[in-house]
Amino acid sequence: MQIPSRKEMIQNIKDQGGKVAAVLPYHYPRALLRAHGIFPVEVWGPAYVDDMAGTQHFPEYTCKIVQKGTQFLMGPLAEAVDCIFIPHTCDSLQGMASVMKDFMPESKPVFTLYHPRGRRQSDKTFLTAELHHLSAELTAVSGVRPTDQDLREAMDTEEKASKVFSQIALNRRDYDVTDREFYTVLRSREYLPAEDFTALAQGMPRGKRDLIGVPLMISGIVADPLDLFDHINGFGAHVVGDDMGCCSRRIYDAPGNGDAFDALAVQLMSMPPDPTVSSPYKKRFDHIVDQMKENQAKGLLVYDMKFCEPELFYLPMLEEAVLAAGMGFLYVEIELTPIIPQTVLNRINAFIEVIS
Amino acid sequence: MNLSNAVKYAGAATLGKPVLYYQKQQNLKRIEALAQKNDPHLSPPLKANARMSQLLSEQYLKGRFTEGVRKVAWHSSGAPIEILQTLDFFLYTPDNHAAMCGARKLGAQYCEIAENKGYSRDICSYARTDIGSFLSGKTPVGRLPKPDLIVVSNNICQTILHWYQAMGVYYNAPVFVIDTPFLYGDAKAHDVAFVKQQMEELIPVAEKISGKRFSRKKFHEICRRGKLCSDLWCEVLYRAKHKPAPLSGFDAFILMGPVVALRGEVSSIDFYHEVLKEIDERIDKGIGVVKNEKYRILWDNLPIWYRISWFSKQLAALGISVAISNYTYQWAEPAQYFDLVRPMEGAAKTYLHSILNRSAGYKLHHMEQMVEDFSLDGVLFHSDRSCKPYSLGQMDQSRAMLDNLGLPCVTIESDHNDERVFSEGQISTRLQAFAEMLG
Amino acid sequence: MRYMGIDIGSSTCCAVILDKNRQIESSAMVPTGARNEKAIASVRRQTLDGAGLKPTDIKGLVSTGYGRKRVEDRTLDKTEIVCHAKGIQTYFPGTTVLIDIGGQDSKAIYIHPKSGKVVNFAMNDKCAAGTGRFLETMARVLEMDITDMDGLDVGEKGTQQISNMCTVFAESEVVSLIAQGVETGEIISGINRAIATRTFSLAKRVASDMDSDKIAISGGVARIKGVVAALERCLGKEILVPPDPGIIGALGAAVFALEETI
Repeated sequence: MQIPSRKEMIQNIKDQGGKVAAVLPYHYPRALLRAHGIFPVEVWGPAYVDDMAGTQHFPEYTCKIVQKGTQFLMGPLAEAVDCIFIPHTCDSLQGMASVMKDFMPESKPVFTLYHPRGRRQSDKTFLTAELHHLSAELTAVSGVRPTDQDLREAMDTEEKASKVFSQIALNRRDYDVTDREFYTVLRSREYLPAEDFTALAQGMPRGKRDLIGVPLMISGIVADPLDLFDHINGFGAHVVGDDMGCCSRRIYDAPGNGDAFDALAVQLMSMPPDPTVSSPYKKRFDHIVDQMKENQAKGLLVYDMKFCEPELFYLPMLEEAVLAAGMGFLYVEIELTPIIPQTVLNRINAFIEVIS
Repeated sequence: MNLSNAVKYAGAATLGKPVLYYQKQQNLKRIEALAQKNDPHLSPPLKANARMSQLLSEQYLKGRFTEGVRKVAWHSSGAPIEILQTLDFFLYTPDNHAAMCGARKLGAQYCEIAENKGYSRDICSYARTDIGSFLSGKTPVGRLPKPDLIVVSNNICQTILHWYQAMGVYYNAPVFVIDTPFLYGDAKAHDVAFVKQQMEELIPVAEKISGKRFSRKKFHEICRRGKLCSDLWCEVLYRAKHKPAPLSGFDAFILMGPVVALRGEVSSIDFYHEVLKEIDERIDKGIGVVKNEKYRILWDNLPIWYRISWFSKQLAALGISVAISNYTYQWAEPAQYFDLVRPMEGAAKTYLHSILNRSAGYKLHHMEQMVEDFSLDGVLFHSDRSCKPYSLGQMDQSRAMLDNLGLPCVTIESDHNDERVFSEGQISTRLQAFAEMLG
Repeated sequence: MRYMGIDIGSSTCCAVILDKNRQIESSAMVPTGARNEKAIASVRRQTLDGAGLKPTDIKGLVSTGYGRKRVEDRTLDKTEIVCHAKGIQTYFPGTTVLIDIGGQDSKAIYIHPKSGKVVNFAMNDKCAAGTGRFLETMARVLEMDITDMDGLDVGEKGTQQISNMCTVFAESEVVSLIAQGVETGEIISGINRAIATRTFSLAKRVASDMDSDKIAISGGVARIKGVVAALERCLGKEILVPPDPGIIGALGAAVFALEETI
């Protein structure tokens, strides 16, 4: 499977006269951007860039997604993108958006979206209004004022891709690919236009997968670098499911009928229990443990960004819940280095040995 | 109704008073003794500190006996307490308790208890202190009141949501969130509408738990008193515009207790009248906190609770007076949004516009205004490891202060509650270097 | 009439004696060790002996460094920030950016081009990465002397990156590289680049655009040519290196002693 890189994708889009938004993690209305003729390309670091620009603006206890993301946006992507979209996911991304807007005039225009933390009628009313407001702001970049119909069409296109995405994520045993290849495809949803992703994912080779060793579930914000999966396989385990911000936390319900903005808001709020919207603890633990049981996982590997408070608060009780359900639990923290430190790999290796 | 507790609660409210009065007198004697010592750099503490301790102690004392007597609402320091006060909830602020533990140098101890349970050192030290207190049952105030309802607003940070959700699990208490969308710019109509709607939604939930009916009339009166309290607090802080500053940012860190935890209580209003009286006496006599005030600065970010006295002395010895902090100003500035004609909407705006819910650029603009209003010579940025909403943006704000206003700034890296994140030698050097730049 | 400056750092203790014309009469440096009183006494004695002077010949004494308050008979004490800024200007007047990389900390200082006063500073004083300690750790792993390492550095040609910030992790990474058979010269260029990147990041905090700045370096690590070269490549310009970069703090303190006593 030949997948273009993020840089190549951006170049393709620009060559065809399209507009590109660099999007920071991680819940956001793809369909709304596409309805504006803006292609979203997600920025998760990446691990291979340094954090030079980030260290000029953010203290060292800020997560590397923000620090490296800043470097990436001010360096390699600076000219290529038309705007930057930073959803309000956490205090660190809040700071990043605020600093870029107020103190980095050299950056491209920055847009934000506030995700309401609850699931009440008031939250829905707010999010609908917030999406309308965002759309009006995006018009300044896109020059487009999408109608309800335009938005519906974009939502339909995205829904096709999302259906394929969740179909694959939930039935991974039916695809004869390695974990690394699997996540390479899943993570291409972060930057391939929906139509391209659908075609790519549908082309993934079907067949019974060779399941290596111990079944493992992984949780965290982002699985990067993808070498992680080679290491997991090498240590004698395979991935049966995930609770990752970059992947399965973004499996939403299909959009309903009626007003498109309304339907988009409801869809966005249908995410699985998620620490970045402070989902109630018990709901979250039940969701993860149920997934693990369904997929017969023997252990949960929490592979997480250092300094990530939304993740860290849940850990002690999550560990209790997983252990109480008779499964193993390991937490490792990463700083998005291009090479996973030996200390982290040793822990994962030992964990897999213990649970096998 | 728990009769035994009812008796004890009544006892705390009445018989407890002489005990607390005695404690207050003892505190006043200590302040007197300090005055006698005649420190070369620092004037003695304000006598109002003694009354402040008394007020908060009374609340904590009653708090030991609330179970079965009064319904208890835990609330975050930025939550809309007026609704809860209208329904006669007994109020408790975990943030306040955590800060007090920090001030009593119990922060690291309690944090370690939480860490041993698996809570990371990278989460807010207020949360770790509070969780540690819960897990061990330890608290310097005897016993904490258990919550019947937890109300949390994220107008100060997102961390507080996770922290209070955890408390909801530990205490098996319902958690109500007042979600305040972050203001990257000006508030939008739908931001205000959202906060107002949530506050309205809180009413039936709180009514059910309190067993009382919500009275709009009483709510109006409580908002009036809350605004009055905030206005008085604002006046207190503004007195520091005088040269030499008759009260310091460090005084304000302590004296803000009532406006945070007991805002709108008649006793808090009386208290701030007392504070103003004492400060005005100082102004008449030309007494400043720092005896040889050479430089006046702003303290940005949370205080370092376990070293307030140390900082006060170190800076005073260098002739530096912390005239104002934007942390204490948090409970003064939003008072302008209180609207006694439309109190619910006014309250919604007030809580939405908390300084920590505003952009980094707004905070800078606000600081620049303070530089002018308080005649400041420099800014001390506390890069608080535990507080990302406050700390992110400081590097740019510091650069802007220097570039735009030519103001020397210093950044010190520490933590507001965890004594282990404090390096005396290094910070002392930075403070001295700051003085060298100011000179 | 002589003037002495003493810099009591966490790794080394250094003293400098100036005459009234600001000429260095003598200097000495010893490891600070666990008890700095001995180190302080030792450098004082060595510098006095080196110049053939008695203690009473010293008219003004300024101390700096973390142990500055331990010098009982000092005229005054100043922080190492202003002392380094003062010291570097005796060699390179008009320096606006000074980068100091010591044994355990590093700092970047911005000096006003006209007044010579410190305007801003940034410090890394709680992490070994980018300090002499980092180099020492790497030297130990490579089983070499730091000076020998300098000789093998392939410099600009090197492509090896050390990706980890933390000294402990970086050490582990270097052990892996050695096991993989990566050439020593490449590893050393990676180490130097890591220090330079970290230092560059610190420098940018006090001077975001250094095109028109006059940049100098001080501290023990300034003696390592490979690090200086790597830093020059980051900055895209020349860095001025004083003849004895380890004494700049003490030199600055001595200049203060002269200026404040006259």
